[in-house]
Amino acid sequence: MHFLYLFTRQAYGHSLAREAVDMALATAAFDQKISLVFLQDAIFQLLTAKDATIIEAKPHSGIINALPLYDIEKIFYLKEDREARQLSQNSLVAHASEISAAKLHELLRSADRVQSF
Amino acid sequence: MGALIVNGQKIATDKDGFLKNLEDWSPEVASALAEDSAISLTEQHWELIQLVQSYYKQFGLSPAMRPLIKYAKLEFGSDKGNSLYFLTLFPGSPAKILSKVAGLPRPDNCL
Amino acid sequence: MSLCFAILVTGQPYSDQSSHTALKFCKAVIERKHRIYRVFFFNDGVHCANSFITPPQDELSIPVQWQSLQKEHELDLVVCVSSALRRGVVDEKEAQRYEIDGHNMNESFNIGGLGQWVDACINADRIVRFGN
Repeated sequence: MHFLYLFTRQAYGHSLAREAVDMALATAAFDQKISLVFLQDAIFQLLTAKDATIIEAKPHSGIINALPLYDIEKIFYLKEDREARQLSQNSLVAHASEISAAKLHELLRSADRVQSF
Repeated sequence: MGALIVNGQKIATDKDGFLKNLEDWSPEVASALAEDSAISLTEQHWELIQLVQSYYKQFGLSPAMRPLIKYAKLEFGSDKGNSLYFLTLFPGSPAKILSKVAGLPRPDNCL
Repeated sequence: MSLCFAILVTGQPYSDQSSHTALKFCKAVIERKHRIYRVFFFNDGVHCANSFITPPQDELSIPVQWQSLQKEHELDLVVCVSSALRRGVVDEKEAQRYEIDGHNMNESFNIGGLGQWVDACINADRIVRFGN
């Protein structure tokens, strides 16, 4: 079964960003096909920046970097979201890839279970 | 609440033997925690303890078995990156016992 | 055709409408002879299981409504353990494990892990989430 998770929140500020990624990790334990798309401000979750000490938080980059260990390898963001936030591709983790809106539509069509957080 | 005595110091543990205060961890405390699970630490054990500590440092997660094995495979190759190797050194639930001995936060049983 | 639903609740009672709407949705599902595979309380949704919640007498008690719906239809109400521990919703077993004085989770709910939500997603025909 193909699980598609759409994230829309930035890394810090609401616990659902983190807890939703936990849900994706739990899904991986069930040997399902998983795709993650970090939409809108959720693209900030993919920043390589590791330091969250000033806000006394656990760095979100930790769980993002762990995704491949859980065999979650389909990690996407939209080109237009990146450009709107003036982020360079180099500032985002290398295991995430840029897709077009057309590809997102294709994922939405092919997924059996779609959830957004 | 339980306790370990290490070098004359009392170290607080919870009822499942996890450290109450993670900053109490030291190699001597690790040996005492391992003894609690009837394991006496060898060089091979220490290699895995250091592995889960670096896993935690890198990802901020107490390891689950599957990603931990994959991580071990990347670090050491498949000789040691397999569950049998982990089970031989830390029988029962290796990821859980390793988290305990290495002084990682107690897993919340969710993942 | 009868459908099987998996319901995810991520909003807390009395802060927004979501957990109340979830409750009404579940009632409607049952009335129309569909089935509910499981209701999973996640993130702020775990507060629905807090038996210390005491609304004024002239307001609907959302936790009590969940409890009676559970009793009447033997619903499987599961509270995510890691969401719950962070928010101070604990059952007797977790209270013992973490050496906490007292527990507040209502017994109509069971504490469980995210795996139970994934299992519900796999087995239900439809998944519906309530909460922001």
